[in-house]
Amino acid sequence: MKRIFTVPVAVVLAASLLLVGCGKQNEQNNPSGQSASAEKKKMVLAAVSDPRSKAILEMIDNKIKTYDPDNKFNVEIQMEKYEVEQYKTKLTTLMASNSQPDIFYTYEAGFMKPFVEGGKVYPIGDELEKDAEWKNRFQDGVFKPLSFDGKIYGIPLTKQLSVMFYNKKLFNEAGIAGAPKTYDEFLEHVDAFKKKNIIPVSLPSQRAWLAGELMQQLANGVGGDALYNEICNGTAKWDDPRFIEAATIFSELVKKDAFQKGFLGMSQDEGRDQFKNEKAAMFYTISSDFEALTAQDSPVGKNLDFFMLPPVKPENGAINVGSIGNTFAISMKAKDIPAAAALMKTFSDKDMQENIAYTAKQFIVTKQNLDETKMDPLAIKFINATSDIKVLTPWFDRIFGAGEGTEFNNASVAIAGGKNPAEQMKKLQKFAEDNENR
Amino acid sequence: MNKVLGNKKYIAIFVLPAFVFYLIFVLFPIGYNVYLSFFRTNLMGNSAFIGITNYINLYNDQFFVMAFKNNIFLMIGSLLAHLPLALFFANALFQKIKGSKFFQYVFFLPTVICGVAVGMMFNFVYNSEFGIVNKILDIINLGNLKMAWLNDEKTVMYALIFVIMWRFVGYHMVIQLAAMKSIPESLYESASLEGATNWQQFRGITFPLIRHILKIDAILIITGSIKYYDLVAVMTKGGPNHASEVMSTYMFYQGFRTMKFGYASAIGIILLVLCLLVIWGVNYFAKTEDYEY
Amino acid sequence: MKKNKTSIGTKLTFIILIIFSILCIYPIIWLLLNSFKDNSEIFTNPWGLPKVISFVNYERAIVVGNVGINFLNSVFITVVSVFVAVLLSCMASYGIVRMKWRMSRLLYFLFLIGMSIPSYSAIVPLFNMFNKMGIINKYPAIIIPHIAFALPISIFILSGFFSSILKEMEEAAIIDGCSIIGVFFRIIIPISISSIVTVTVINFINIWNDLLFPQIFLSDINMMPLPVGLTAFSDLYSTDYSGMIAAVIFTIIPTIVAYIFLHNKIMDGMTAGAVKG
Repeated sequence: MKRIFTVPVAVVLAASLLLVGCGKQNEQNNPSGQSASAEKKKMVLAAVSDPRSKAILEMIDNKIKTYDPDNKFNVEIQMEKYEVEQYKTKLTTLMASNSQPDIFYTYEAGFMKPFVEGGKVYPIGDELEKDAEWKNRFQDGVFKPLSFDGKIYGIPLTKQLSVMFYNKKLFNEAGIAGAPKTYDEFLEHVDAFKKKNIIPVSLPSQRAWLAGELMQQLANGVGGDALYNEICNGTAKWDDPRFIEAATIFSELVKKDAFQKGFLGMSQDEGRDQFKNEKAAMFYTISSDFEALTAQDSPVGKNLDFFMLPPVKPENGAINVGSIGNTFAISMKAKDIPAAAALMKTFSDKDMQENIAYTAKQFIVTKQNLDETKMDPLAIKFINATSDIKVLTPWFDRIFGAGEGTEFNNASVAIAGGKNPAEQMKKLQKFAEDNENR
Repeated sequence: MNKVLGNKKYIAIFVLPAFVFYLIFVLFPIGYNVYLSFFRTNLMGNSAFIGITNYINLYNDQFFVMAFKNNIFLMIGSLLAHLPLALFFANALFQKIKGSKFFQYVFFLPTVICGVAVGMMFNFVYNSEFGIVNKILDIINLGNLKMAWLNDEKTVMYALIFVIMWRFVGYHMVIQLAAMKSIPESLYESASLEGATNWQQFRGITFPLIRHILKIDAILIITGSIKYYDLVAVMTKGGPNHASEVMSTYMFYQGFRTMKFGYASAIGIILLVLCLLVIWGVNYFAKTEDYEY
Repeated sequence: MKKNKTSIGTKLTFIILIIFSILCIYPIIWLLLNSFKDNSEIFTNPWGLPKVISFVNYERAIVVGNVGINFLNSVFITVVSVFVAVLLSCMASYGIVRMKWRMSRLLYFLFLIGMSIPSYSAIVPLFNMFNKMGIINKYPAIIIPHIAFALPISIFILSGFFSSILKEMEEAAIIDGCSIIGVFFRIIIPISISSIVTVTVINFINIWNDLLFPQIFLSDINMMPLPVGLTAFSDLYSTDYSGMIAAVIFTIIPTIVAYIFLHNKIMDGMTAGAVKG
């Protein structure tokens, strides 16, 4: 009988010894200020780590080490990184238990609204008001999706837009001069590529948001920012004729075989690779993919160009799906709010913003003047293009959050899969109404 | 002796540690869920008592109904694979077919690998570009049947259920095999002497004597398929478009994504009631006696 | 025992067994072969043998991923949780089944409730509790809920078994002068080895595979068990198919090795016969 116990006990002892050993080693390797005095306050900065945000997180890590050179605040900030789904679950749990991280990554609008309404988020706008220099760094309108009841609750680091990348070489070979100026021209280009057996547009929609992004952009073209504002403030419904028209246009695009075979099940990475390897002429995606497409090993590199999808109705031009990204907020219960604010201020420092533009190749949110000699011409064209955009309409799944937002994406995927557009939009509306009461 | 066995002090020592642990860390959270299910709340300080509205809404919720149907589908698949099939394998190994040791090892292998690894493995297997399934179809000239198995509403549940069935056959087989091995050989010897065939021996000796274990196993299988979460969450997250949603993933989604914790708790309580009904049902309809031998 | 009749039935059975074995092993072997290829070879030649056996992918998986530490964590967490859970449930099952106690039916029912609900429905209240206890991001925060949720299923199975043990065993021991605790440890437990090992295996598998509790109650990546480590790796390197495959294989291998090593002991344990006569 004793034998049953000896084996597990031995294993437990052995394992504990090993772990203690590992633990000790980790303490020695731990870079964050171990020599500091015990009175240092500790704060946690929680962030989502995925391939696109990797460079930015490194920059933030740098700032954590350098934002307080004289140790004025006597605070130690530690970064914790989480995978996306884990992060959403964990943040929700932490918020519900009132022990959210001091500084945390967040998505705008619908995602952070419950946290703000629950009083868990510090209105960083107060700090911005006190510090005019800080506030003036930012471009107009970047705080809109982060404002509730007139107060600002988060600081964004980047801007992201939907964009259609295209391969200049393939366009030339198909006898097309350049980017389409109207939607009909765009349709003609799709036909031209189909004839040559080249994938016209890569739209990998395994994660439903990309299909949703395209449908929303088409809706922008049909209804302009009026439609967008109306659906957001509740005066329009999802089965509005304008939405149905956009949905129908989307399903016609699918029926025309504008997208690659199996696009509904294709992962973002695979779809991007197809465009990278010049198998697709165009790639509808998000601007933060720019870095991957201009990477050293990218065959499409020199032939890369982009355009914003022309609106279905010409009067609704310059309205693009897009929003701010990489937003951070401070918890109401943060142990040292001034220190957190000081750190967040460095996110809009000149060097940080320049890094974001040159290295991470993403759009910045400040009015920082960029040195065009440090950027490649396409990136410069990119930056300039954004100033031509009059209105940015954030993705519906950001505005409405999980639930209605997710279902909009699901409806887009269903329509792309062949289901009747009008029916799907009516179903979406019914869902939205039911969801109100749950 | 009765006095000894009824002595409260001894009962306390035996039962109390487990019960206290359980009361604090399981019963209390469950009670909290029951309580929450009568509210509409996002746990951010904003809650309203709404009685049984959550339950009524669930009844009308097309996604919940779809999830429920998917669970039934899972249950049928699991019952098929993990009872008759597992039993068939267990019996074959019990009757010492050639290579029993080898099969024992191999069949249990899928269970030992963690769910995340299994999920990722099958994401590769079902991959529409280089996955095994589509390649096999190509080779046997049925290339036109190739699909994105996990991303097509029509095929996703079938693809999933195959993985779930695959994963636990060995697990249940080993449980049943263990039960079989505790039957004394003498019974089989006398049966063989009387000329009973393998099938007769199974039907007359093996099956009745392991009925008790089979009952427990059936309960594990059915309640497991009602609560099942792991592989669905890793492989499809309930998609595409809720086609592979099961009640537990829907519960997770309503709680941790849409933050409707009251609604999610109501789903949890429904799961609870369903499982209790199953346990009661199996116990009632499959009354077994203990055989003394 | 029985004569090995090589009838058609047996031959057919054998074929079916072989087919299922292939189904069990092939995905793992396919992954193993592919783990030696680089990304482009996976796309162009997913079925063939790798042109070159290169361990480059493994280097990436081991160095960048954290698999060694994850494995140790998994072992530690699982062994401790299972050990305590099984011990407590043996005691509780015995108490419920053998003691002449009016409340035992009610108690049994209460434990059944725990078997009927997914464990993560308790995340928010448990997090709150652990937070107040100050054990978040420490091992107890993950061991405690694992033990708690392993209790219902273990008690369910063990009570089933204990109620069928012969009463005479006990009576004989008591007449001989053993105390109740003596009876428990010296007689009941040895007889019940098969059920105890079965319950140990069931709990081991459940806890080993758990993803959610460690993700929520722990934040230090050096405390994470295998499932979490694998998820984190897959998120960062989702296009790096070859690296991912290597990571999956590397996660599986220690498990398989340990399993092969222990399988015999497990099977013996699960099938230890009761004392007869």
